[in-house]
Formats: sequence, structure tokens, C-alpha cells
Amino acid sequence: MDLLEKRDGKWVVLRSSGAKVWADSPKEQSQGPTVVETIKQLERDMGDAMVAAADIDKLNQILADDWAKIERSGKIVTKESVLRDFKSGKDKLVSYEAGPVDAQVFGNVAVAHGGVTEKRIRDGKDISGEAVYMDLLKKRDGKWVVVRTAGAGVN
Amino acid sequence: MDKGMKAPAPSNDPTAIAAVKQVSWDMGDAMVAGDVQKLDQIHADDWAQIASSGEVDTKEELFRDFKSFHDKLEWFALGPIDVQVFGNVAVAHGSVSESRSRDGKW
Repeated sequence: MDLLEKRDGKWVVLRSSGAKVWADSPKEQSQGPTVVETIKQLERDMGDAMVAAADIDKLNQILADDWAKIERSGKIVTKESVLRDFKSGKDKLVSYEAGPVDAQVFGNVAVAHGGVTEKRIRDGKDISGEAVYMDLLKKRDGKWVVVRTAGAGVN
Repeated sequence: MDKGMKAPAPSNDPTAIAAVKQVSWDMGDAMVAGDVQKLDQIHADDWAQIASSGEVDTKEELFRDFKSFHDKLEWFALGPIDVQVFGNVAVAHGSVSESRSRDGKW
């Protein structure tokens, strides 16, 4: 999956993320309502777990141990650092309103993305605004976890 | 959630959606053809991805691999591409079947 940005009137790819689908998994997109709804619920749970005091235990379950994202600056954010920042209040999601989550499932891999408006404080600065996010998920030990995230602000 | 807020709504502009899909097709074609100039136009200078190994790939590294044939996409077949456009940002995702060699290995 690719995150693109329009620059100087032209769409360019800013971030990419992908995963191999197991050979014994169905290559075709799974439209099963149960699994797609599971992914969408996981996305909603993740947003809710980030709000206010942040449910660190829940986030710990949702994010894979090797979860990572690349910030706009190019800085790598790991699970350890994101949980630490939510726990300390360095990163604080005050409130948010998410639009519909679009999810696709391919065997053991899923992608989800959507738009969100956030009121967010980071390092004491208000970084509120609209953003688009995309998550890459994998099913591990029978449970879906988020392995990669990318996002960009909407102007 | 904060009901006082409004989530950004995706655009229904078919031109924008088609333009984003075209980027995905062009990228695959350019990789097969080894068209580095086209890939340069498609990828932002600050493009990056985190590989499954956890290593970060930059645009510079991506190009080095394609130029040296360290990474070679032989063929690909894209499934349907799902695109959502929100103002100046878009997300495209779908499945791809591909034959790729890396370091001479298939």
C-alpha cells in the first residue's frame, strides 16, 4: 500500500508498505464480513485506546512488537517509543473523530486506512488537524496486530 | 470520539482517483522496465519504507538496487486498487502477484 501526496500538482509516493501473503492463503481479497469487521473494530479500538489517559495495555496488544512508522521528519517510531510517549503524556490524543475505515484482507495480511480529525498535543504543542492514516496488519498466533503505520496531514 | 469534530471526507473526484491509480500502474511498469527516470518522478525525494526486517529503505537505496539489478521485478499483475483521496493526500492499496529476483535469487 502506498501513501501519496500531491506536490506541485503531481501525485508522488511518500510511503510504501507491504507484506507477503502466505502461499497457502487465498490471494483474492477476502470480503468476509466477519474478518473485515474485525479489522475495522481493531482500528476503532486503537483510536479509543490512544485517547486521554491512553490504555497502554490495549495498545500493547494491538501493536505488534515489531510495529514501526516513519514520521514526516524521517524519524523512526517504534512500539517502545510510542507506548513510552503515550504513558508519559509526551504524546496526548485529547479527542478524535474518525471517518469510515476502509479495510481489505488478503489471507494473513490486511490493510486499513481512513481519515481522522484529531485534537492532539505533542511535546506541549498543539498539532491538531486532519490526517490520513494507513495500517498494515498481520494475523499472528490467531490474532490481528498492526505491524506498520503511515500517515500524513491533510491540507 | 469527539462528536464536535468532523472527520475528513474522501473525495469522489474520479479524475483524482484515476490519477492515483495510474501512479500505481506506472510504478509497476517502470520497475519491470528498469525505468529509473520514471521511478524518480513517482517517488518523493523523502520516500521511505520499513522493510519486514525492520530496515528502512530510502529512495536512494531503492534506486541503487534497481540500477544495479540487485532488485529486479520481472513481471507483475495488479489486483484491483482501492484508492481514497483526501485533499492533497491519497492512499492506494491492493494486491499484486509478482516475479522478482533479489541478489540473483528468485
